[in-house]
Amino acid sequence: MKIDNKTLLFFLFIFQLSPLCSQDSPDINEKSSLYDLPENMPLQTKLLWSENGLLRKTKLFNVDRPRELILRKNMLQLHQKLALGTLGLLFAQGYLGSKLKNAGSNYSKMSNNHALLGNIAIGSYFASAMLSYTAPPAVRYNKKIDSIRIHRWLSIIHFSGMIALPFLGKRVSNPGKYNITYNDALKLHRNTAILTISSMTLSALITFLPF
Amino acid sequence: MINKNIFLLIIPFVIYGQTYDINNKSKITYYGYHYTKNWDGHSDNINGVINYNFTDNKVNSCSLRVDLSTFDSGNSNRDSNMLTYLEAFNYPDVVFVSNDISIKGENAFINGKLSLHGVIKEIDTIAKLSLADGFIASGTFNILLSDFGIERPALLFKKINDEIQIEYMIIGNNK
Repeated sequence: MKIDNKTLLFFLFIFQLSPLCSQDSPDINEKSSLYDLPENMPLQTKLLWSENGLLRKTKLFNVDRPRELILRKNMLQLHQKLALGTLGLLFAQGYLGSKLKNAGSNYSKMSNNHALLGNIAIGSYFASAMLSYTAPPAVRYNKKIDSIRIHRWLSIIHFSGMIALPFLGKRVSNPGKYNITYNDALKLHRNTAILTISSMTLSALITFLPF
Repeated sequence: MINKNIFLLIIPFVIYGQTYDINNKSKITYYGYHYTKNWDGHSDNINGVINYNFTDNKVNSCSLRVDLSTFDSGNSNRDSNMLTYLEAFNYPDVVFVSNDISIKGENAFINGKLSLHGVIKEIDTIAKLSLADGFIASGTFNILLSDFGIERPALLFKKINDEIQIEYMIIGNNK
């Protein structure tokens, strides 16, 4: 089955909206069993980990909350480390990218390094994102806005940016093919990169808030 | 005959002692520390009783239990992690029991046993006591996570501080 770009974008859009679609949580004082699945999971978590989720239907994971919470903890710890590494790579990318504009004879070499580092950063980013998006559900999800919820909202921006950046990079290296001027392509690529890195930095910093 | 004996045993307690149920306005708060941030979580889901003998100012005993899953730090992710590190599936409660409480003035000197993560440790704490309106005891004490065999979570490659401060305000209603 061939999936066209519109269909792919539609699914990406739905996937990206999912952090916004988590239902309200029950009152925090309501005593819930640790062994129960929370009913207010984010959409992507529900698709995978609810009682009728993909991982249950395929019998890959039966409901086993103690095991799932340990897995969640490990996945999110790895997510945190990979994300920080990715952020470092993106800053290096930004530096290389800014140098490219004024590169002379070594433009080709620098451009290749920029593309290579970009691929590593993208690989690292999506590995980190998948660890977060596919982690088993938490014990509960609060009704009020907390730092993790803002962290998830910001991910909509940087996730979209990370999808767009390689395509926008291609337009910079070959603007004629895309019927765009070099300067316009560069401006769009640079602005998207700044937005992506800024939202990712903010997303990381926000996890240090006490709430 | 047996009933009469039980009645006689109860009489002194009825005259001189008072048993309090824990009011739902009671609150236990923990304070955690990391070089990037400090945070706290609280629970008002405290079960237990306090037996207080007011004739010689001795609290006979107190017994408190808190379901760990009721602690709320305002961040569901952190609460989930806390329960994982505390192995709440195996040790779902934190329990404090004391039979050694003496009162001097407004202070209650409490020596008791705290059970957390399957480990029991002796705790000394001084609570400020008020009996004007029911029973109110409030105070703080510190624990070390390592004393209770609790692995410490890490953020940015550095673990949280070993020391956790516990603040309590226990309000009792006449039973």
